[in-house]
Amino acid sequence: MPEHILSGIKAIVAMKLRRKGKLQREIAEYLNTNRTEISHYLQGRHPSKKVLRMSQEILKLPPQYAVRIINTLTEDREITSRIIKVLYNPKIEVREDRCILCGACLECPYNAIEMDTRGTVVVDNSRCRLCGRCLSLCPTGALKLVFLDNNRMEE
Amino acid sequence: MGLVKKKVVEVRKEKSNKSIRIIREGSVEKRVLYWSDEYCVGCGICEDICPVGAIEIGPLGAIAKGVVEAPKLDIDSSKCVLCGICAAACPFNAMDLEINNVSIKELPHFPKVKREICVDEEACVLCKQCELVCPQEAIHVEREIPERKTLVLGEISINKDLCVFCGICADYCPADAISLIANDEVPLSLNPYKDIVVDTDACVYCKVCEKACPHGAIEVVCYKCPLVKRIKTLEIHEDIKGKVVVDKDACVTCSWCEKICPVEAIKVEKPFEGELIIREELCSGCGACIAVCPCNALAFPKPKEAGEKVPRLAVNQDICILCGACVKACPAGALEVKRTKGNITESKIPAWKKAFDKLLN
Repeated sequence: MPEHILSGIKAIVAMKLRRKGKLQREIAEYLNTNRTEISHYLQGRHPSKKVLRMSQEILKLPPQYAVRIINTLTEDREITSRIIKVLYNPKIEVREDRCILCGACLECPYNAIEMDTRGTVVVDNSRCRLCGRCLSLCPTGALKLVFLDNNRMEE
Repeated sequence: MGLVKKKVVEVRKEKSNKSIRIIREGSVEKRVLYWSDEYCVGCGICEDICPVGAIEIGPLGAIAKGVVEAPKLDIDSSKCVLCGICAAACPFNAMDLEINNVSIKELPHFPKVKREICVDEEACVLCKQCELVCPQEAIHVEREIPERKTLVLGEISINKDLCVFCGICADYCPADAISLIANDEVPLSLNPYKDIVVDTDACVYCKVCEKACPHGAIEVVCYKCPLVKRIKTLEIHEDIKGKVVVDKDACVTCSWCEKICPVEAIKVEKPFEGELIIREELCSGCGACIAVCPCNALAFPKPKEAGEKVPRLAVNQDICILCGACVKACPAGALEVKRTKGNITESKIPAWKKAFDKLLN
């Protein structure tokens, strides 16, 4: 079942990328699948309408909930982060007025967070897989996931 | 995100009555937070500044009075995030945070509470007043006084042919340097004394005996002051060597020594400016504040004469460092610290600046 929903969401992402002018080959590469599958997605042959409808409903949710559901669909953080990036253009922001430099977030499993010598926490968004671990580790709520594309800056 | 808050890196705690170590060894950073009882005065600044409420101050009054044996504070390792704000804020070197074995006090971007004491060795007259008043025994005056012999020089001679052993010289001698030796051969020999001796280690060659002797038997020559009768104090001062040693870790910068120094040779930078407010009506007179105060700045005043009205508790604002230990120790809430200014280094980290601002009101 989660696999179906994942396909549905992948299909929506594929369509979004196509509208942006990406080629089938590029989309396949990005979603780590083959061109046949992408062509099925784009022509509406797969997944079923029912699955697509449900996937669309998920994406209508406020982004922070949708992201949590997407992250449960597979353990592959690489693919989920790519999907989320296309859908919401998210970013981890550091609120300097809250960050106490405790270093808890440096335990990022993808090494996307570093502390520079001046004592500032820097997030490398290209490495970030949006797993949310840093957000749950931060004791002061200084890290925040913002969704730039949804025009919703609040959580 | 509302995700479940859980720690992935294990935080270890090693604890005894005299020290606490909180250790977090992650893949990127190893952080160790230290607390040691040795220099902790129980001011509670760490408790006030901790952003996650992980520090709790113990029963300070009872600990200071020796009624209970407990650590002055405890750190809850399940709450502690090892940010090190407590270590940077501790004015007394009781705490430190090491990030990958580098002390937070050596990292320039973290603010700290500054205190300083310096002694002007050239101006110091080695009077030892500062050593006597220091409440933490943190200041020592190593003073070498030249031997008496180098300063007090002279000759004294008693002409035994003229001396009648009357003992008048011994009675007059201000240094008790002259003694008469009793004759143990009486009654075979009639003289009660057989000899008179001068202790040259005690004699100051003041010539009193010479003047007092009715028989002109004593002759005194003082080499140091052949013309002037007394030794010049200036000469003594020049011959005294020594230095003042300050244990900066133990020093609480109360500035008592600065205030008492007769030649203004000591400069002390206190951590805070402001005042300590005593609400006399709430004071029960338990003395917890007096026991805990690292500066001996508090006291119960005694009436100078019977019936005189004195306040219950008084503070010497000049030496109070506004650390707040008394406030934490007082069970009745009779004390309050009002800090108007902090001697805190500039920080570019907004959250830290905010935390440090909490110390001021």
